[in-house]
Amino acid sequence: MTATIDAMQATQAIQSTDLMDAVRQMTQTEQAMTAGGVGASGGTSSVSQTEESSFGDMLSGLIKSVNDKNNVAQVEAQKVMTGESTSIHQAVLSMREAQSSFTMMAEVRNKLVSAYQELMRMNA
Amino acid sequence: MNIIPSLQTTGDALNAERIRMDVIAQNIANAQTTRDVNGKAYQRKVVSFEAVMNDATKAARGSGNGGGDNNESQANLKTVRVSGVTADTSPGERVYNPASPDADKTGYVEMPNVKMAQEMVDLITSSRAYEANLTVAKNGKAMADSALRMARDQ
Repeated sequence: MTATIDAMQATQAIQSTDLMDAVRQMTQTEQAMTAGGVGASGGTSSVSQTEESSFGDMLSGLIKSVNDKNNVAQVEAQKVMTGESTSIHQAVLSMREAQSSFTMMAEVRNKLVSAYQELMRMNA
Repeated sequence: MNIIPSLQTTGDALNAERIRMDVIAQNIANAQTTRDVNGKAYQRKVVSFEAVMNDATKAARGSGNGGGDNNESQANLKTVRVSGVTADTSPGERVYNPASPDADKTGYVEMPNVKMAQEMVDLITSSRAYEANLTVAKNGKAMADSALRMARDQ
């Protein structure tokens, strides 16, 4: 059980860093494009930057809430195993919720990565 | 973020059914108990449920924020909890058994008012209700999963 949880956390850590890297790379690419591009005026670039940062915030928020759900599920499972709590259903429900939200985060990451790759292919 | 619908409600319902199951077990276990803590025969206990606002509703009401699709649709969602465990005060059967230490002067013992058939029916109701709530949870998970699958296949 602990091994599974550890594995889950490890995967989660990997996925999270991947996601953050992807965001960073996307931001960099976009900044490079704006800089070398049509010579955007100061006004528009500042607007796009605030949008970028808010998108990054949203992603960190998503990752954080997924992480919180995982932690809750882990605590519930531990409580059941140590006999502190008797509500198995609560533990299983929070585990399922954590799993589903993790899947959603992974989907978002996949979309992000494929969008990034699409952008990179535009060069060739 | 609330990915799976109805999770809190289902969780609370399962909890309530669990408590009902505990009380039924207590009734069956004490079907022959002629001395409760008050010295009298055991009286069967009945669980009653009540509907309460769930966390989302409380949050929406608390912030005074009725706007927004999400808040509005969740503003009236209620969940369930056990409102109380009360004793059934109907009299139990009186059995002539002068050998019992709980017999009165005439040799009669008051038996608990637990009826085994009734408890069995309650037990079945409770376990079916538990199953029904589990099915709701399963369906909620399936809905979320199939929505997520839509992002994958295209």
